[in-house]
Amino acid sequence: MLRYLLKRLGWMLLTLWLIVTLTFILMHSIPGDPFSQDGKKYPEPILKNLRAKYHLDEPLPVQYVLYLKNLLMLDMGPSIKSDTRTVNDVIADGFPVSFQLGLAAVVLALVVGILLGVLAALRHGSWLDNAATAVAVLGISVPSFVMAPLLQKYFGLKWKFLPVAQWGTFEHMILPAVALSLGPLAVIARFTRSSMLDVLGQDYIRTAKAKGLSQPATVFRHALRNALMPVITYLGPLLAAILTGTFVIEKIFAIPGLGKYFVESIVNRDYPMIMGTTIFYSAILVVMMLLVDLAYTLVDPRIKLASEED
Amino acid sequence: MAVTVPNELFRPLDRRELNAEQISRPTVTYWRDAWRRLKQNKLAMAGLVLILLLVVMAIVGPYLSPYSYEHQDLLRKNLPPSGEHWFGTDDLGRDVFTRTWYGARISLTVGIVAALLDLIIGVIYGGIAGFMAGRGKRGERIDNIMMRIVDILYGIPYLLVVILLLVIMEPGIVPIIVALAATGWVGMARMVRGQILQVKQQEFVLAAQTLGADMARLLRKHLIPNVMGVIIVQLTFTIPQAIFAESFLSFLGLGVQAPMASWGTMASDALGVVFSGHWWRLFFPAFFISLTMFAFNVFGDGLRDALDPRLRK
Repeated sequence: MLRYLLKRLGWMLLTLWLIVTLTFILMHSIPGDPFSQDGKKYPEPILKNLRAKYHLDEPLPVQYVLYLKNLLMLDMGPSIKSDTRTVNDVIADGFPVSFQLGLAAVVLALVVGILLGVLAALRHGSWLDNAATAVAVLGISVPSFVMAPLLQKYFGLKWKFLPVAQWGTFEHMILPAVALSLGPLAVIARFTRSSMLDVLGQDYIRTAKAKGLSQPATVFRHALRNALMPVITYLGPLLAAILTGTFVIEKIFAIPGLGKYFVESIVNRDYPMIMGTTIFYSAILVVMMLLVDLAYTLVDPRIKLASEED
Repeated sequence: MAVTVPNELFRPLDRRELNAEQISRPTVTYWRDAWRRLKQNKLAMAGLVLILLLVVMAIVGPYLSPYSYEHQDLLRKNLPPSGEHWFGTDDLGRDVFTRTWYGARISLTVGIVAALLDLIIGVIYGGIAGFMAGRGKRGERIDNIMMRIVDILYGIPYLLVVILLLVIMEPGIVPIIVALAATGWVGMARMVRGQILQVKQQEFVLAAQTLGADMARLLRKHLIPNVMGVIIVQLTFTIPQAIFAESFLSFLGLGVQAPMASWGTMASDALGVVFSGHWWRLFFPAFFISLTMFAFNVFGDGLRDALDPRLRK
């Protein structure tokens, strides 16, 4: 097992390096540069100085090596768009906010989604099953950019329960977390229902019932455990994406998170910011992917990832 | 002492008995059996009919009204639904009915094609990776490399990929579909791999292997049918996700360009109406996205039940 983990750690570093390299190449092969996107027309000497300041006048391979060197010392460079802040600053400011919001949304989606899925599977074909399907359909087909303003209008403006937007107290977190959790909630509910139906039809569930286990024990100790596989699979990339912030929700609720930088850096061609956000997201992603694989073997001990010789 | 049996004791076999063991009815294959059970599921068939109706309306819908999707009439803007404009008009006086069905063409094409590509690439890729995992040193390495490629595709910002594709290809619907498929199949691949890791531990797989089934046969006949439920759920989510991804790209100026319409762009254009009260502009695209989702979900549920090998009789 330890050898497997060490091996995976090596693969993680290799994967990250490949993502960095490919993103670097992609980023420089699309048209435009950091000084062409804001509609201003810089005079030639200023442009030359600006390009020299950010080493954009060097040949690409030199820039690449320079970037990797700085990256090894965890320095992701300045944000070209903001002048005063570095990419490290932006991530350090934005990530805690996005992380809190994302975690709240994921917990909400997991608890409600799994419960809804289990209930729908246990009452397969009943009105409860159909109601859960309807909730899931609405959750996924009403996009967050529609759901969020609706929540703001009713809970924020009309009934005045909760703050309309911005960030600060726990109350500020509720509406965005709800809006953010609806999509994942629907997906989790559907996956739980489907794999619960698969599992409930198996012989060991009949055995568990036959030996007299109560329904909660059968469902939660025996069935749910095996039915969680697709939810775990889905959770890996979801966590990486949602904990690093979402563009739409953070924009609508004016939340100072990390989400907007993923989109704006690309629109602005803010090269160090594109690289920084990508590396940060990818680092979380590869760790999540490893955790997912490890969770598989915990949930179902029959699963073997490493070959027997290890 | 040898026993001699005289020839007279032999009697010719009755011709009818020759065929006694012959199978006279056609064999019921997996798919035929599934179709038979699907036909009995009323809700699923309603979903199928609804999908076909939506497709037919996407084809003929824009011709049913006298207006074209791009015709502007600024004197008749923001009109509520009426006999003249069935779904009302938008802020440029364009007929929402015509635009809804015109948008259906783009949204349904993007959604269905992206889902089909996901299905084909994702299931095969994930199937092979899941089958190889833990199967000796070589298998472990194959699984590892295949899944690290998936990680890399997840990691690269897909906006960069879309922009690059739009530079290389003619702008329009094709680069959007290619971009969505290029990034979308990895989700399906991971899902299939995860489920196969679990299913392949069961005894029937070992039995099939002992009988000499190779990887292709094991995947096709034994593993994939047992992970069908999850594949279908994943597919039903791919369709609306593709529709919204398209609208997000349009929002950034990278998707379908005005005056063309898609459900996603119509919904995101109508964003302000939540506060202005022109509900019909948001309601109709959102309603038909939901209806499409609903149809695919109930049909998918029925298909899941029909394809479940354990329910086979």
